Amino acid sequence: MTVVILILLMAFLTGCDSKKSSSSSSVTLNVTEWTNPSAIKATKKLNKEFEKAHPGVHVHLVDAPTSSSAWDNLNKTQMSAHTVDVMAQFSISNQVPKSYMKNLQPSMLEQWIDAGQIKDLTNEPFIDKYFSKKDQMNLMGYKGKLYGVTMAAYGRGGVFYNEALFKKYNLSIPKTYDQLVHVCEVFASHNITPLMVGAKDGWDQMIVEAGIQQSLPHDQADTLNKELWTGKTTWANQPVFKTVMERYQKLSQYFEPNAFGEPYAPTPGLFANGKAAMLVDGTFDGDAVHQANPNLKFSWFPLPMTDDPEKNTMQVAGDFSWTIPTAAPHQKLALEYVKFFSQPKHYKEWENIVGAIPTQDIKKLSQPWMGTELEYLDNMQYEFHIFTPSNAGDLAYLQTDTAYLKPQGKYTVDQLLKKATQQWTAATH
Amino acid sequence: MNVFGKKGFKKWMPLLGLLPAIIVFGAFKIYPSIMTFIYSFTQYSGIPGTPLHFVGLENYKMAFSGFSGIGKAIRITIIFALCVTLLQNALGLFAALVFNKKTRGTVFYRSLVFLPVVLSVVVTGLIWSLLFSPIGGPIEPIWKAVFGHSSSFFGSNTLALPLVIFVQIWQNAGFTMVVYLAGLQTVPTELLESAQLDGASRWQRFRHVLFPMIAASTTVNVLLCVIGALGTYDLIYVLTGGQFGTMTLGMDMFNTAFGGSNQLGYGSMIQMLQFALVLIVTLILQWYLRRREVEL
Repeated sequence: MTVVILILLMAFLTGCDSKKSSSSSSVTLNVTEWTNPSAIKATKKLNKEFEKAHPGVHVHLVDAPTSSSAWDNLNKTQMSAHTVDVMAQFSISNQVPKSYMKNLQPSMLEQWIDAGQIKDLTNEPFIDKYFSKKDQMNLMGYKGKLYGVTMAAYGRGGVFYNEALFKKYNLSIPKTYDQLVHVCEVFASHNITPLMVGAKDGWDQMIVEAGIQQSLPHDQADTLNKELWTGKTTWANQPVFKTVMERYQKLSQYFEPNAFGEPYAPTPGLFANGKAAMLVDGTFDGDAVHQANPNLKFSWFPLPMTDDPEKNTMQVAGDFSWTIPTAAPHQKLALEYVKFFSQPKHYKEWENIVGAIPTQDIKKLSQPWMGTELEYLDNMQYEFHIFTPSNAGDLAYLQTDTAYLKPQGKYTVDQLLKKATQQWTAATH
Repeated sequence: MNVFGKKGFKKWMPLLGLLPAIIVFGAFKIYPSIMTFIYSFTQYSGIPGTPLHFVGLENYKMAFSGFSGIGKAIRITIIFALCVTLLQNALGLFAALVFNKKTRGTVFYRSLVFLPVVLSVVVTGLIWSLLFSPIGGPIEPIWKAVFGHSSSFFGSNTLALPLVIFVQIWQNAGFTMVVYLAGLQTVPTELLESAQLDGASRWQRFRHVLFPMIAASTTVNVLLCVIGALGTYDLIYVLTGGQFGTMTLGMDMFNTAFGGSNQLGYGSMIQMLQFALVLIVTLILQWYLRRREVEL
């Protein structure tokens, strides 16, 4: 009896499969990207256009959130099974570990490239549609070759601000740290939460990052990393780190109450609905704020963490980049797909929905909040990366130490810098 | 007597019958365990196509190099397991004693206490995250009224670990209660009655009659609690992500191996340390509890 049931079950399942195959003699192009509602909406729209332009092709888009390990696991399983044709990846952004960085593993994407699993796109003609090759190499270059097309960049370490509230209290966009503190004080004196951060998920750390990025010369990034890894520079022996942490500490008194218990996810909605005057965030979340309250007039500015307006620039990092695995089942079609997205007309369509910082020459985007962001592009800097040692104690990384700093934590700035230095040194020697 | 016979197919039949289970157990338990042990000596990232890269004892050396965070994780794991085991057993035993009476509504109340056991960890985590949300959560105003200040709860360096312990106990105390109830229902009522006739107080009856008689239930509950608590990561992952002083060994292992850094080799080493910790604690406890059962 059991055998009969099994045979029937197998016949049924086989029937299901054959029905699926017979109904679609088309080619299915498998595409993956992480869960970002606006990017998914944009990709789906262009997928339809791609299907229309390529009769017989069906684009199957799979997404997974980055907040858990789901996105990483989707990448690994799809790559292992050789089932993915086009895969979105975060930009490499020059984050290639150097030889003196003991026990530091390259990222998953870099390891795939080293294993020959990602297609080299260096000589593809559609790369010319984007910003200069140098910019593209900055974002997706690895060991002298280009392994992906960066569709979107973002500015980190900034705030979305409520334009109506700024107007009501006659405030202008702060250009220096003191001006930022003044803006916060004005809001606090009117019982309005100045800054919303979602610190439970570490979103407040953008303030520290902005401080470090704006305070240090970007062309010295390699030197800084080498000195940190060799012990010549430490968190404790450079006044700049102390200043950044003190400034963070000062700003933390303007966070929403109990900010460290508040996860990031609801904060765009809370800000959009008037719970705070500013939201510490990257430009990539403009659409989330807009969706939460389409009537809100808001814009974005980089956090000014130094006293010099010239230094308080927007720090840009690469974001959404298309890559093609070398084992993609439909190599030619995958390339055609990326080429299709790279056409200026299609790219603008995609970008207008996503609302990220464009990587093609677009002067104006349809989202109102993007206006000022594009202005900041004239004076932007690519974010540099401080490589942090693997498996060090949780105090070793200055930017993630905020939960330990008074009043939330138990350490003063000096104690924290000393502890961070001890743990960093132990991990790098 | 060998019911299967000594020759031919009949002789091999029992082994053939066991074969599917052996294959499944070998594929899903033995093989991964052996590979975890091997990976713990590598810098393997788990990414297909990348080499294993053997590093000998380097991962173990790094773990004990002073500031790796492993020592702190071990300390937090032990505090977590100790608190969960003691409090969960005390609460489970108390609930079992209360609901061991055949009175109206007992079955309903037992079910109520057992209910959280059937909830998934994610559901449990989300329920308590919402209850303890510092913005708009229902507990925040009560907390403020009682203590005079608000708190970031799961984002607080001082409160996060006690709250995670509380939620772990809330979720599993029902199971502990059921095991104790099963033990209590095997205790002959005559024994308790004769102790009462001899003038034993309620506490003396519990201490000298009931508790020794449910020693086997205590052993099971303590061991299950300790093993479960030493390996916990899922609930912590949902509630705090291992931040704010809640980074147990299990959580550290998950973050290291699967949390984006893809250090399967180092993560496997943490897993081996966790295995050693569970093995040592369990062996000591089992030896002590079994000896105690015999003595009682």
